[in-house]
Amino acid sequence: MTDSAAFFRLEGVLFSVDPAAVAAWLALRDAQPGDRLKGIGRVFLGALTSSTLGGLGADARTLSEWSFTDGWTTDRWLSLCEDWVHAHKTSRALAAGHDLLHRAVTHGDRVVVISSLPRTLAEALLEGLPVDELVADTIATDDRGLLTGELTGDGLRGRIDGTWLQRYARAHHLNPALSAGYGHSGGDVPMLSAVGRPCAVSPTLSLRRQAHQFRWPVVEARP
Amino acid sequence: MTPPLSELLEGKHLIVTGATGFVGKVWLSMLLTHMPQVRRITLLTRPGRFPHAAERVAKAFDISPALRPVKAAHGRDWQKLLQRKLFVVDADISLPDLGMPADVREELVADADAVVHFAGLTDFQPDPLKGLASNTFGALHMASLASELKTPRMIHVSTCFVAGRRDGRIHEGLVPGLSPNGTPFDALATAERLWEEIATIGGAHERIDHVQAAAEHLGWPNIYTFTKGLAEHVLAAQPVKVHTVRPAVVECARTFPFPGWNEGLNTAGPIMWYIATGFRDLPVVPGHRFDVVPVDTVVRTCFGALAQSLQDAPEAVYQVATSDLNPTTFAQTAELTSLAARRHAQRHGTTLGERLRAHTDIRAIGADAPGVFSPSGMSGLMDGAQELLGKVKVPSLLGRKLKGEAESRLRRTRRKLRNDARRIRQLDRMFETYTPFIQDHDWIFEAHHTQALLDDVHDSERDFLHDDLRALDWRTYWLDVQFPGSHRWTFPVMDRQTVPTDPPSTPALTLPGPSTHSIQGAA
Repeated sequence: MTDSAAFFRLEGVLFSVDPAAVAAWLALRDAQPGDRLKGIGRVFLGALTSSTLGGLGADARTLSEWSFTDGWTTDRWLSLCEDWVHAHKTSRALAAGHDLLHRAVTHGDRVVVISSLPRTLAEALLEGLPVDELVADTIATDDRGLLTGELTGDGLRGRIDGTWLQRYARAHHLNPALSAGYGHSGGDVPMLSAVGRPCAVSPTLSLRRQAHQFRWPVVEARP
Repeated sequence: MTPPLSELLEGKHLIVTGATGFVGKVWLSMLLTHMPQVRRITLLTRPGRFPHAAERVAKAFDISPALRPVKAAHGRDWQKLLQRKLFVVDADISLPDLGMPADVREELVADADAVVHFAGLTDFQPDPLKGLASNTFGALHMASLASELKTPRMIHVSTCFVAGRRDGRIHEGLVPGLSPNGTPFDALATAERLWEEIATIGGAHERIDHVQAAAEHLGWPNIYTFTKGLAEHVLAAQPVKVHTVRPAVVECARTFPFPGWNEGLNTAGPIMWYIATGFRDLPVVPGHRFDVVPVDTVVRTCFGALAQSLQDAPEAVYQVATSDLNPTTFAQTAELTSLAARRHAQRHGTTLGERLRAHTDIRAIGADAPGVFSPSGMSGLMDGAQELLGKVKVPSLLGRKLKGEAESRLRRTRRKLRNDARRIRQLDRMFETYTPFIQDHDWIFEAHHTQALLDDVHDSERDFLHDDLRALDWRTYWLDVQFPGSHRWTFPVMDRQTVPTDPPSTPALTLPGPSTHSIQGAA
């Protein structure tokens, strides 16, 4: 295991996006006013669960915040994702995060981006960036091609821990001790603790405390 | 594999009708852009309001965006190319002798190799005097001309909707003498009988009612499909080998002459315009297939049919349709139009109304539930509003000046309401004529002949002649091509505004006709 990787959190490191806000933006564009209200309710409930139940809520939040897409056509989903990305990609890009990503490429790291956003959105945001792998979930579809609102895939709903990272490193012949990690919030601490070159990017208060405690470097990034 | 079409066309002389129409113009543009090996193209056209057809055609081609690829491919020489290849003859296909001098006709048939017949009247409920003359007898007269060629060959552009009032799978073929509802009939005798009968009927509405009844009796939903259907049956009995191309609803170009190109009013354009306006209830059956095809796919099929004809392949019918190989539904296209209108407003919206409308989606409400926000519902509301406003009187308590202003404002509002009500009634009528296509039937037009034709193109011509109905991605097509194209080229027609054209060239394009040149022209 001699190769190294750089693990980037998309939200807050590469782009200034809050998945709940993106979900709300999309829910407000449901077909009928009644569906919009219900959708916003689901997103709000997800955000509330997350803030009150912390780590436990993060699963529930990610589950429910996209559940408003239940019954959506892929046409609506893909089209509105394109619209959101078109309207926000440039203004939400974090130059400092992008700079770190390019430096990782120069360093010869395998670039892995982890996102809580559904894959469609994350892929569209990352288009044009030198990313080797995206770890994100997709929203499942039923046999009629309609979205079910449930997340599937190996994206761990955007949350990764040391065990996942060790497994990933073994599968890709990577050395975690030589690898870098760039996180933004308290949820990224397990990932940052598992790599040899951790870095906090515009950290939230909880991550800032941890970074200070473990003497991790801190980078400030503004859109 | 078919040899290159440009090789088959080398030195050939084609007689073409309907070249100033939507499909005809794109076909001619592709021919002149990619296959200038053709020796001569004689366009049979009515002069319209011009002294000669050549002037009408020159004016139309000079400013038509459909001709952009010709201009791009041939640069400054594009006018010379057109002058060398095209020959415009004043003609009226509704007349037995096509309204052209006998010597011109003789010279034409002695030299030409095939007839390509695009011309037709596409109004759904035209005055049958015009509908029969153009769609049925016009085709017959062109077949008569084609039968006089050295090798009698004809490409006839019809419509999938000659299928009439039948549901389910529609084969790419014709059983001559059998109407859509299975009634044996003699098409030519029927057309001639109706022609004689309507000649004695004074009003257009009465003529329409008379022919509509005959159409329904045989299983056709309107005069357009009836007259086109009669033409196919009539042609089957003529001594000419006919290759029939039947497009479904022809809409914006995917690639040629450029993405989004459209001209005039087709079925989808007005529906999309309707969705982009304030109406929110669309009277269609959501699950029914909406058979739309891009105009360039139709044009490529016409070239494929021509290649078959020039190789003396057996007669065939080609349905250019998506409902079998790659179907979309009214529900899908209504949603895509709403999404496209939303995107357009978000990126280019200028008025508050546009932005507000973009946040409300259309509902496909079905045939039996006329919604309040449908044309018929709105028509009722407008009538009520007009009646109410008619009763309003400005109180004399107001001073003379204020009263005068209020009365003037009231008059303006009444006038506006009257105009809006008229437009909504027109829209209501338009949807009524669309009923067979958007509510009554769920056709599945087979298109295997067409797809085989589109696949069987020579490698050297794949770039511009190959097409794949199965590969049409509806979301991309609707959002990136169909809506923007309709917004630019069709909505102005609905809004009674000027449709954009290209600037006229200097010097203006002139084209040769019988008075100035010989038919055979330069090699």
